[in-house]
Amino acid sequence: MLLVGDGVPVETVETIARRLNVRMRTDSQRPPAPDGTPVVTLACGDRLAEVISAGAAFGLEPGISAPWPERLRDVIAAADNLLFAWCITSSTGYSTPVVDAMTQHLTETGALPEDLMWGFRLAITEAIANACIHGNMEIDGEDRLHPERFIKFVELVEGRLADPAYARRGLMLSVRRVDVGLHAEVWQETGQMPVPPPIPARLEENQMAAGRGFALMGASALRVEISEDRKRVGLVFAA
Amino acid sequence: MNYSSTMNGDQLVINLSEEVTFAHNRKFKEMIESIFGQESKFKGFRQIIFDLSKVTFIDSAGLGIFILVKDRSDKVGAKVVLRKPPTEVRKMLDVARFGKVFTIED
Repeated sequence: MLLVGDGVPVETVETIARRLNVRMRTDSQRPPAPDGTPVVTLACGDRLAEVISAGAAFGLEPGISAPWPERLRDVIAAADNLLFAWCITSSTGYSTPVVDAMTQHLTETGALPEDLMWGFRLAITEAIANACIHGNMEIDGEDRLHPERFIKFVELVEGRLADPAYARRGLMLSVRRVDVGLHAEVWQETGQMPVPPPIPARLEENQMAAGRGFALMGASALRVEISEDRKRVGLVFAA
Repeated sequence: MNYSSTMNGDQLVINLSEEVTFAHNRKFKEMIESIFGQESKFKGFRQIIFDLSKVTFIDSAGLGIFILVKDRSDKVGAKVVLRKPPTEVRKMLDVARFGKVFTIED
């Protein structure tokens, strides 16, 4: 499955879908991305790499819809058994409709058992939230934890979402099949995610502790991996 | 996320529905201001009850809002109750050890 949006004309995607005989779906049931473009998907099945490569013939280079084209090309070139590839802006990732679409797609195609949907979606939503807020938008979460400063935190988030310098930074999400099940990865283009507490985070005494998101990831996934540069989170799910 | 608030004696009941995630920070802000802001029409409550029965999905940001509300409620001597969480939401509350600081009514 390939998701395109973020300014790519729907007519271009329709042309590609028709010529390559892949199904296109416009998610009209979901709100558009913050920049107003609809979220459309191409159901590529195991022809993902082919569709990406062929897209260039239609003037759609891999990543032309993406703010981070080199990461998209690297992921597609390197990953065996790739089931999903998605590269969008932080502002689109912030509204999370695509995580829902991806989860449903993987369930419909049998890659993800239904009883794992919730945990899968939760863990990836948490990883994307971190990548958007603490990574690309470079917002320290400290203010979020204090009632008096929460309003300031929200205003800062909204300000950065409206600022293209932050909002256009790239997020990359991929899912591939591995021996034990599924391996999802979330990359953020800039910034570094905060150093997480031990996974699962201990919240015995202080439910205000930072890292609650990592605790939920740890509870939902078989394994959580964090790259040395703290720009990529890997999540392994038994499926 | 949608929410509605009603006073029932000294109980403030907040019905949450649909998804409660980090993408709803603006609604969180509105909700907190509606409860604790200077213009709030809700006065004298001794309990805030979050009815979660219609919540379809929640993430750590959503859980964080309950903590924020509890922190403010503690200052005015009010208790926070999380009522009827669906199964998956209940699992998350358990992972986050929320039973230690909230009353959870199934």
